[in-house]
Amino acid sequence: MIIIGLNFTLLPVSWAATEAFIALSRAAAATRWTDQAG
Amino acid sequence: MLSGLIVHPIADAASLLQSYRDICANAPDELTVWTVMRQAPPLPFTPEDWHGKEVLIFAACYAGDMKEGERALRQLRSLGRPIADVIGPHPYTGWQQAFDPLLTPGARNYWKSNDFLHLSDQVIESILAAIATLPDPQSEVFIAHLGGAMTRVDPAATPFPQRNRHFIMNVHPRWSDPARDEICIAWARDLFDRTAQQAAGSVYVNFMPSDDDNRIAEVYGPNIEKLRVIKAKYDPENLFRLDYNIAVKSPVDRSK
Repeated sequence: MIIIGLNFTLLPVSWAATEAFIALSRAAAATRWTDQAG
Repeated sequence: MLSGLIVHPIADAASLLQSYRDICANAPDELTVWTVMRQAPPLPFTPEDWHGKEVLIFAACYAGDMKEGERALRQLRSLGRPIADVIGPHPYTGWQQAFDPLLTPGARNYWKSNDFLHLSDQVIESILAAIATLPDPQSEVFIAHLGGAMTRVDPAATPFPQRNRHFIMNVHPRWSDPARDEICIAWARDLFDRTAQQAAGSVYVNFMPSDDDNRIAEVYGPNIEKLRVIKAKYDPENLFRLDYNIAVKSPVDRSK
């Protein structure tokens, strides 16, 4: 998923939307992605 | 939408760019125009004898009524002596994909970018000097114009802080031979450095190369502090650490 590499790169949106997006991305990464070096 | 390209000889570029900055200053919300400077690719609408020669290309897009768009683009289309003018109605997805044939996978790329609140004659001169020494036929410099509705948003209302009408210069060497890495990257850095004094002090994050990670404060300005709070709340372990990282002051190590 593209969100895995995201570091707030495309966020000309409200702070509420920003926070929701980051929260969802991080939660998705926790359940679907193994943290590997690199 | 009414969109397309207008191709000019690079010899006319200085005066064209001066007119371009004035047109952008008065552009309605519906109109945006980018300028691309590169060697003419072998596209069907450019005469064959121009292929491989340096050109300036206006890439214009009017998102609104076609007749209004014709009026809004009249001044731009009347400039100079175009080699080709292929402005016309397109579906949004057609325009969105218009440059894809020039950006096929497999090439080597490096980007270096400055924002400008004003496109000065000095910046124009520096860009044109760089176009005279393009390191590869696939390389280009483009100028994006931002304005209109985006300027009417409070800079603190979203993470993206640069809400002034401005231009983004992206220096984009693109090549195939790894042996040319150093030459192509140096070309981009040189133009970046030559224009840095005129730059606005902000930068669009998607036009930064991986070695620009020291510019993260320029990307978000004062809004970075709020982003750090969000980062600490949701990603204290710094799992999202690739690309341009919003640093966590003391990452939590949960592996122990």
